[in-house]
Formats: sequence, C-alpha cells, structure tokens
Amino acid sequence: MIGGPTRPRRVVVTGLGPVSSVGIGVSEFSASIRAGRSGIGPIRSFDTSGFEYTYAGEVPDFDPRALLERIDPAAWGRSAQFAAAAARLALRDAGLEEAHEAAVVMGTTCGESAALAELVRMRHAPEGPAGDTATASQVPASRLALAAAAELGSHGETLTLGTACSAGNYAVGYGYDLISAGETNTAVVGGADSVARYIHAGFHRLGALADTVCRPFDADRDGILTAEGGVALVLEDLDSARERGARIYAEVRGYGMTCDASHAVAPDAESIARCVQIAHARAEVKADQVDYICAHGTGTRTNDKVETEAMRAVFGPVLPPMSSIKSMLGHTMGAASGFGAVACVLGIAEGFLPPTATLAAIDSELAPLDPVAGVGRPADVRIAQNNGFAFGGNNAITVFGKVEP
Amino acid sequence: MRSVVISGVGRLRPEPTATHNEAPSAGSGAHRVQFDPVSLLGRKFTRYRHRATQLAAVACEMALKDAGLKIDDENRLSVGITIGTTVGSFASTVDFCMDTHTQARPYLVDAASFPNTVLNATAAGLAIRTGIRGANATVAAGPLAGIAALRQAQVSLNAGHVGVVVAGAVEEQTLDEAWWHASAGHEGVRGEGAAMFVMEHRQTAALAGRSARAELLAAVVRAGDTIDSRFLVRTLETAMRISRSDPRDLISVHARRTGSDDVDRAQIAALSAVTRRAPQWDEEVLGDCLSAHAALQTAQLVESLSDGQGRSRSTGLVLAVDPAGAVGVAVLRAGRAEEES
Repeated sequence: MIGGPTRPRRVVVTGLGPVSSVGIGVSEFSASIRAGRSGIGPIRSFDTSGFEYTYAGEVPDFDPRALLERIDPAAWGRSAQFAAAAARLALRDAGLEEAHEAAVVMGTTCGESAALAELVRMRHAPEGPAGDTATASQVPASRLALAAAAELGSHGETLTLGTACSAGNYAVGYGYDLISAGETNTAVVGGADSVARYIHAGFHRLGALADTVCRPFDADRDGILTAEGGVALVLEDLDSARERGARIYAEVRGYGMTCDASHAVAPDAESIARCVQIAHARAEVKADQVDYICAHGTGTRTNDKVETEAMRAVFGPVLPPMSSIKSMLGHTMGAASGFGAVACVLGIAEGFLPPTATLAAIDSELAPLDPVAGVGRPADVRIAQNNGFAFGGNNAITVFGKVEP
Repeated sequence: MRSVVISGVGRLRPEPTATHNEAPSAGSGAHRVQFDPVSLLGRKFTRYRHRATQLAAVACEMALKDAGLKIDDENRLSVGITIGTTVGSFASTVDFCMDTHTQARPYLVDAASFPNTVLNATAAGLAIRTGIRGANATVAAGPLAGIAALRQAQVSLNAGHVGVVVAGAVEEQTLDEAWWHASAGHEGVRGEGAAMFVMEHRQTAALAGRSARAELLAAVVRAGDTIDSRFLVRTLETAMRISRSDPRDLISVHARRTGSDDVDRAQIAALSAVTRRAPQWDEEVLGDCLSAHAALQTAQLVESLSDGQGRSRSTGLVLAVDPAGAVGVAVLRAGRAEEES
C-alpha cells in the first residue's frame, strides 16, 4: 500500500480560469455547463478537405490580446497562449493581483501542436529548405508553463507535465503536493492543448472520431471530438486563503496515479480501479461518500465501457451520478481533466451536477447508470471525483471536497 | 525533508565521430549514440518505437541493473517512471504528419505510430518494457528536463506516491531534429543521449540492500528572466541553501551554453558569484544534447562523486538555463551513508 505522510496543510481552490469553447471565464463557463450548451462546430483552424469527420471543439472567440496583461501573444504558440490566458483569468478570479512566488504547473498532450503542424508543413514544402525561425522556436512543450509563469510574473517553481490526456490532473496533483508539503503557498495549475490537423487525422484513422456529436454513455455513441482550450485553477493552503479572506470554492482532498503498462492506447479497467482506490485512500474518503464522478467519458465504445466497469469494481453495482463534460467541450486533451476539475469544483461550490448534455438513450450495457442527462441538476455535492486517463495508460484521479465555512 | 539518493545510473552518451551530414540544412553534423537497438531491445519493442524511447529504454535497463533492482510482482506497483523531454520525438511527428500531406486522404496516417507523436510515448514505452506500474510521468522542460525529472521524482517520493522512481531525460538526434534546430537558429553541434537514475529514499535503498551512489541534496526549477544574472544567483543560492552544503565543497560544476549570448553571460556571472569552480560545458564531448544534456552531466557527476574523487562531503552542481524563461539547479553529494546528518 502506498500511503502519504501526515499532511499538516490543507489545499483549497480559490480561483478558476477556463478558456473553452463553451465560455471564457468562470461565469460564462459555469452557465454553459449547467445549461448543457455545446461548443462543437465545423473546424475552422485548418482546411478539412479530404476528411470525412470535420467537427471539433475549437475556441474561435479566443483573443489572447484581450486577456493577457504582460506577455506578447505573438511570441508564443496557441497552446502557450491558452495556458497563459487561463492562468491570468484564474488569478483574477482568485482576487490576487500578483503571483511572484506561485508555482506554475501546466499539463498537455501534444504541447504546441499547431506550431508543430505548421513547422512540419514547412519541412515538406518544396519551396524552401528551412523552417520559419519564430515557429521553430515555439514548439517546445515546456513553453506552456513558462508562458503562464511569465504572464503572472512568477519566479516560483514551474513545470509542464506531458502526461497526455490526464495531464491536467497531474498538474493539479503536483500543485497540491507542493502546497501540502509546505514548499509553496500558492500554485496556479491546469492544462492546455490546441486543435491540430495531424491529431485530428490520428483519431480519424483510429476510427475514434464522432460525426458531429460526442455522446458519452449513449447506445449510439461513436467516438470523440477533438477539441482545445486552456484551463487553470489557483490552489492555496487553507490557512493563507482564510487569512486573506479568499472565496474558497472547494478543497483538493488528494489524488492518485497509476500506469497500465499494457497498451499504448487501450484503457485497462484493473489499473483504473487501482487508481480510484489510491485516490480515495490518499484523500481519506470512502467510496460511499463520493457524490459525483466527473468521468473521463470520451464517448468511444471502449473508454466508456472500461471506465464504467472500473468504477463498478470500486463502487459496486450502484455508482454515484457520473457524467461527461466532453459531451459539451469535446476532448480537450491535456486540458480535459483540468476542465473536469473546474466542473467538480463548481458543482461543489454552486450545488449542481454537471450533465452529459447529449445523452439520448443510455447504453444498456452500461446501465444502471445516472449520467445526469441533458442539463445540470441541483444537488448537494460534498465529495467529487475527477477521472483522467490517457494514451500510455497514464491514469490520474483527483478528489475534491466541500469546505465548511 | 527525507534524504533522496541515487542508487543506480544508466546512460548512453553520444560519440563525437558519429555525425550525420547528409543534408546542408542539417547544420554542422551531430554527436550520436552508437548502439544497436534491435539487438539490445528486440525487434518487437523497437518496431513501432522512436529513437528517443529506444535510447531511454536502454538507459533505464542499465540503471535498474546498476541498482540491482529487479521489477517483479512484489514491487511493480510502487515503482514509478519519470521522463524529461522537449517535444518527445520531433522526427516521429514529422513522419506521422507527412502522411497527412502525401496520402490520398489526409487521415490515411499510420495509426500504430500515432502514440509516437504524443509527449509521453517514451515513459509509456518504458512502463510496458519493464512492467513498472506506479506513477508514470513525463516532464517537458527543454534544457531543464534532466533536473525537472529529478525534481518531479523527488516530489513524488516525498509525497509517498511511489517508493522508487526511475527518472531521467532523453534527446534523440536525427536529420529532422537537425533541420528543426537549424530553422530555430540554434548554432553548434547537436547531440543526443539518455541518462536514467534509480531514485529512492535512503532508508528504502538501505532496507533493500542497495547502496547510494549519490544523494540528491537539491533540485530546484524556477521561472524567471534568464538575462538577469541576479535571478540566476538567487536560484543558485536557493539550491545551495536547500542543499545545506558549503559551495567550497563543490568539486565540479556543469552548465550548458544556451546559444543566447546575453543569457550565457548572465549564467557565467551568476556561477562566478556563487562558486570559484569553473563550469564544465561538456559540449566537445556531448554536443548540445538539449533535454538530455543536464541528465548526462548529472550521470557524469554521480560517477565522479561515487568514484571517491575528493572527500566524502564533496558535492557537485548542474545548472541548466532555458532562455524561454526558466532555470534549473541540481546539487548532489557523494552517497556515503555516514555523511547523513
């Protein structure tokens, strides 16, 4: 059994910064999630000629200049801009003006995929031997956290975690570890990824893309929709947050990580169940205390089946309400579990269950299951669990709880 | 803070002679590792895995062997892997993307190679290879990757997520990488390699009968303006303070030239403010190994510390600076248990 040391410091969430296809900023995002609004549309960021599947969850309204205060967006790639904008929004939402000492931790699947795709296009272009210097300089994935740190003026610890589609949870967890160990008082954590042609092609080829609607847990689900965005949460130690009179959304109770070590892309129910058990043990919660599960819920046949099976292995036949916000956002990759964390935290703070917006008829193979179909449902959420799985079997699950005033 | 030690080291260093200079855009050649992945790792493992994963897999197995750590059903859940990288494998992304431009339909890509475009392909491949099923992490940190991996592993160990981490960093060098760096305006000879370290608390190593090759006294990664030598000095001083060691005990100091004159001036000024020891850049031996550079320097440091050079309280320091806005510092000491306070 892997157990943590005694944790003298509690960690709370005091700021949220979503930059998503269903809203930029916490109030817009929260209203959209409650209403079950979709952020999916025809792809605009690349030429979809020749593709059979042409929908994604882009953020066409993203204007980095309107959000960023310190860094020049032109010097950074799209994913770094998402990360920095999300960090700025989260800091503002936390009522903090500066974050000189804050740790800045971002997760991602493909890093600067849009810049990479552009650079590779140049590599194959017949007209020239060299790529554009600015684009070539923008591709290191490390720049996601560096952009966010520069935007916040942080001189604190910084890290970009490249653990694919659970990277948002890894980032939340890393920030939590730093604060609970007393290494920092504040951490701005989250994730970012961008829609890119080659990633769309990869999922297309795997047969994992949905036509126009992502329908997690539905009998007719046909896959994911690629998507993008940036998300950040401000984490603080409880005492400092209370001292400065911060609004506290929820507490990070703990998290767990496991690795399947079996297949590059297929999920593994046993390894996921073990991840849930570790997360619960470290968060000191029992399965029957969990009021809500924010599912990884990609909407592929395999994921939703394996995920449900893994949850049953821990919770027994009756699961808590379990929904997928990917029904609205699509799969935002490295940002996905960061958005899941925001959904959990809002559910706890505002008293609702985020919905699986697109569900028409539940897959009988997954039943009985309460996927919170349609729109958000009022509920007292005291403990929420946020699932994140990934290529390479990188599982990470975070647990959030209500903080009594 | 509990003492974290390195109980095994595996590394693949490049050979200065092994250059590729086929293309004019490939810059001035590269230092590459001479190894035969198929004979070392087998055809099945190497077939769909990129060079970075192959390099890291060999280094990982060397590190496990060096530590005498055998992965089995008793320990596989409590061992983790952390890999430091810059973009994973640029060449794999190039290959994969090429099909989107050249095939009859843009989605007629090679599905089996898709995971190779993702940053965590190496860490995932190592887990499959070794059967290690504890926390599996990838840190994207460019030139800081080796130090960021040590730091992430230290945090993971101290938080109790895992009992042992095999951590390190890797960089591959192909014509595609050479083209990328030439496009970015990076001068100098490119290099590649991998270094992996078996990391654990001193007590864990002692209970298992593994000896500490070196102790990680500090691993610090900070964001900031790297042209400002005062910021670099502050970070170096932070690392020395955390290490609770005396700069006079430093027997070697390693650093990497960043390619930015302003940043390099700042790091030289900062180092000279903290230590009288002249930095080793290691470029003539390694080339510029980017994400593997600091990891290979750390491996060299562990070797010199554990070879008994200098006194038992001897320490060494590795500095890595990313002009994009971050600095990393690792401080290590010879691993002798009697030195523990």
